[in-house]
Amino acid sequence: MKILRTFIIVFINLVLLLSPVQIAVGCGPQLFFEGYSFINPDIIDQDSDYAPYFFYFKDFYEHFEKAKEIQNQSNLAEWKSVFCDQINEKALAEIIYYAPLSDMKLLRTAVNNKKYPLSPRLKTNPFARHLRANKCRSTINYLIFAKECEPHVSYIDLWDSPKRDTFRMQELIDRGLQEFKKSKSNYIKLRYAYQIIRLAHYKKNYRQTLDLYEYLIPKFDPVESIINYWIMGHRAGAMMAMGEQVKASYLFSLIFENCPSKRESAYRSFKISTEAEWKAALLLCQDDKERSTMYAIRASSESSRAAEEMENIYQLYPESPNLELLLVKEMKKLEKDLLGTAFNDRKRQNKQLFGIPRKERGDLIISLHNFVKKCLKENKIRNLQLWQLADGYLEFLAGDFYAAGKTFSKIETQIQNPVLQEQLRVFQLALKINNFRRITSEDEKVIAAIMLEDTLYKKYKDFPDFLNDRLSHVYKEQGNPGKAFKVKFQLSDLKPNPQLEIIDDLLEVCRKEMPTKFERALITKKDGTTIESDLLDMKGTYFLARGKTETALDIFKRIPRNDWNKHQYNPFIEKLGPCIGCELPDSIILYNKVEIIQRIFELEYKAKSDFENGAIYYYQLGVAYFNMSYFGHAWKVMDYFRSGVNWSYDKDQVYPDYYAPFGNRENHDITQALEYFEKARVTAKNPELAARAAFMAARCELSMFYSGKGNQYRGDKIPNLPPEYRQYYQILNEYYSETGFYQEMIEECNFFAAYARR
Amino acid sequence: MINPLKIFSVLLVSLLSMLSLFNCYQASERKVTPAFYHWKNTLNLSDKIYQQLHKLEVQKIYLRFFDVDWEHGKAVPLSVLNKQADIPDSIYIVPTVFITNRTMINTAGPDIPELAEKIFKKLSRLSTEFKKEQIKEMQFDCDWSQQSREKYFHLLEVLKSKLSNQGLKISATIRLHQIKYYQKTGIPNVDRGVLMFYNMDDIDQLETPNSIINISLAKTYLSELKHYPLTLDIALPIFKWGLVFQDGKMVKIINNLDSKELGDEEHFFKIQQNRFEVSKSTYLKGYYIYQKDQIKLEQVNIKTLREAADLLTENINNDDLNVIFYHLDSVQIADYSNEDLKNIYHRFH
Repeated sequence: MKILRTFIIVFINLVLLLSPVQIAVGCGPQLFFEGYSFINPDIIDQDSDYAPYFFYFKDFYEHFEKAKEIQNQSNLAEWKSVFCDQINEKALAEIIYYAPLSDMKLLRTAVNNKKYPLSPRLKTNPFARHLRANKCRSTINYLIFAKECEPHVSYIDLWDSPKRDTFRMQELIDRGLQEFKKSKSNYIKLRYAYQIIRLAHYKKNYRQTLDLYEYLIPKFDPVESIINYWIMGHRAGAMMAMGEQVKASYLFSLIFENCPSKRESAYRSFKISTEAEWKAALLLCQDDKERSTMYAIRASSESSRAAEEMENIYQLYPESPNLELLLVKEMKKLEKDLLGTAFNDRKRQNKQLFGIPRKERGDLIISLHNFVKKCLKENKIRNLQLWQLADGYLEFLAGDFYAAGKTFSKIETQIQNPVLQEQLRVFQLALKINNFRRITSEDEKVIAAIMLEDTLYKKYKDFPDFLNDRLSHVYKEQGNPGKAFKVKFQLSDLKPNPQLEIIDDLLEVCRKEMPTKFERALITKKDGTTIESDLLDMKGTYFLARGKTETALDIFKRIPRNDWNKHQYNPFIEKLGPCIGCELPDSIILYNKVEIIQRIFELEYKAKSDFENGAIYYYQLGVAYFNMSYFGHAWKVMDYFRSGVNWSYDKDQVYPDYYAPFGNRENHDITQALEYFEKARVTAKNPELAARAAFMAARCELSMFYSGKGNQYRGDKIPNLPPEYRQYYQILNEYYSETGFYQEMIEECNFFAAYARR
Repeated sequence: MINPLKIFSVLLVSLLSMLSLFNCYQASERKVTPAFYHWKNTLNLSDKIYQQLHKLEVQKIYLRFFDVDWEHGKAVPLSVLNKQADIPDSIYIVPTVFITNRTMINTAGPDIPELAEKIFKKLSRLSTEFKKEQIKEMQFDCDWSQQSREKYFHLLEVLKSKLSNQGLKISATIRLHQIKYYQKTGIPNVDRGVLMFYNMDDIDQLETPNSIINISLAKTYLSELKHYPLTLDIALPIFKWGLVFQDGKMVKIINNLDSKELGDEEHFFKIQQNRFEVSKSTYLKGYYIYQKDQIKLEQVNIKTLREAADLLTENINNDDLNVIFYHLDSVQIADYSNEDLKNIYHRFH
């Protein structure tokens, strides 16, 4: 009865275990480009507001909130200056952005009539008090008007398919025009003009927008303000909508150049479609600086060829800060293409997924380097030291390490800027690591010092990877596979598929009488002990999994006796059903790996020598080998890592695993178990034992089918076993159908019956 | 003497034979509904297009109403259809929504019902611009991945329930790889699917012969089509584009580009069939392209469309089938004669 239930569970679990093929697809990390970068973005002018346009174009949308923030800050800064810096920005923001209209109206009453106090919320606000004390009626009237305009020009919920209230917007335009006329201050007039023009633009009445601009702007003396550019943005937008793409784009380029708070929207709105439009737009530019901005906007596209645009900008305006941004942007691209590609172990993935390195990297670096050399020679650029650094780094990236070293040494004394000085030291450290060709004990001292003491090594997050990858490459080249592995990975990463040459190389390091500090770091665990026992355990397990039990025993015995019992199992417990993670009774005897092998030897001896009971021992050996395989509860005796999805066939039983550099080897081979079950069946004098052995042999066959070559079975039904995989079901049927074991199964297990009777 | 019984027997046998022939004919004749996708932002059909719809006996238009994308940390509707023309009463409309995979990845699981509600409401509002009788089905298009599958399928479940309350069917687009690996990629719980028989090869590789359609590659994907447990319609490509490659990397797609527009020898140099190199930087259809960029032209000729139709008709089991051309565009449709397109529809019978 119990057996039958177990048998049912076998198949239910097999079905469950087979389905994870689906799960496997979703496993694993999201993949990104994996390389190194040592360029510090701080080397470009930190005050430059253009940086995002050149560096982070992909994250453009992420800058939306940032752009809004810049806009608000610029507005507040301007209001602050209007009030002679006497009012802080927080107080201004409280009124301009956060106070409700009702509070604003109360404030206006208080400004108009001293008898009325400020509302409790604004009582302590310095801006409110200032407006009241100085009777700033015009300002508060404007602020109330702006607040009333706000709902009509602000972001709307796109899900609601809203329609703007154009009737109300026109009312506000009319009222604004009256207020504009009444106002005496040029600054307030400018602000009203902005609100009015903006309302017309949001109404999508583009003709009215342009007409209002023409009407309002000449009506007051020019005022220096960011609002001029905000107005220009609406004017350009209306022009664009009316098909005046060239003029509009020119205006957007002016906004891009001069108004950080509207730079993002200007960039997005700039649109030139033809050669003729481009030439016409250039003709509108007043000077070469404006023209160079047009080129800079075009260069900031993701698909621009910066070298060509840099040349254009340089010809027009060599001092342009945009040149530096483009230079650094291009160097970062080339860094991905060229830095450490000889030893980057993710090289294939980078190529397959991201097309990096680019085919044309050689031409690209030559062309950029030539341009840099020309700029240095002519010395018209703004920041000579940055270009000198670029010269050295491009030599480094191009593989001319000697020249790069010389250039870096030459400019060491010339660079004064601390950020650039640090960048130089970072490039020098990267070059030093890159230049390791054969690692001696002396080198290992130097490496240890870099890792432990160098502040830049710790500050720049790509250094550890760069160093480890480089060292791993060199160690491998010089015949130290163990060190090559250990500088990059944890010992646990080797466990899914232990590699003998690595284990032996590391064992050699462990046995050194005088290891270097660096070597000690490689082989020492957190508790101060070495990894020698772990290596021996791995090596013994390697041989055990390949059927070399005697070699395995010899190796396990070399582990200090105190460590033998760290892991204990009992593969001799018979489980007729699947029991991969099932709990075994606490009372069972547990064996360490040495004891398991000794017990196997003992059983083998008894099986051969005890004629009467040999079948029982063969059966026990079959059980042990089955249990120690991928399919049994004691799989940990022969393996360290088992994935439930690795049922299907794979060459050499090694399955790819992102985290395991050598993949994950599964012990699917159960021929040894099958052999013992067959011996047990043939030699058994008791038919019940023979039936049992045949049943276990059938399990072996089923497992072999699942993990066999050419098996495409992935479904959730009972598989249609090919004849060569159901020989033991047939044997059970033919020879043991009279046994109690067989009868019990046939009666209670339809599944088994289906197989046995086929 | 004529035996009346014999005559009766002969007549009976003849009648039965005719009936059986008729039945055979009925069984083999598939009902094919000619259809188009309309994937533009503005619905503004020219007289010529109206005439073509009539001549091709188009009975359904899958009309993209809006996209759903992820912006500023939330799902938003974009490129909402601007209706400037009517669709003839005789043509059914299937409002279609394209949902970006990143929207599904970024939307939190518990927020799916809310997103479904928003999409449903938006669809309902936009549908009021059309006659109610014209709409019997709504469609959702998303190239879901393992990461987004569960959430997307949940979204479809919620939408299905809402649409079914309104007496509407739901359909979803299915990519070729989702057919072949359906046990891994899953099957959405919808009334019908549309197999998008295009965009099947690697668009990012310059050496890919034609990323839009590749019959030999398609064959390797179709083994599971007959077993796919969802009734499928077919979408076929009638579009062309130019792919701009820079330093081996695809950087731009220029729609509706053909070799005539690359005839200017000052700027373009033909390096092989359908492949050009930019010899001097210039603007092309609104895009600035640089010297040394390469342009690969891809389009689907009628012969390939015929092959695709024949391949699919062998592998699809439906008795009724919507055959949808992607997409209704006066420039693209002009590359094919009405007879040719009609012939494609007919090949599915």
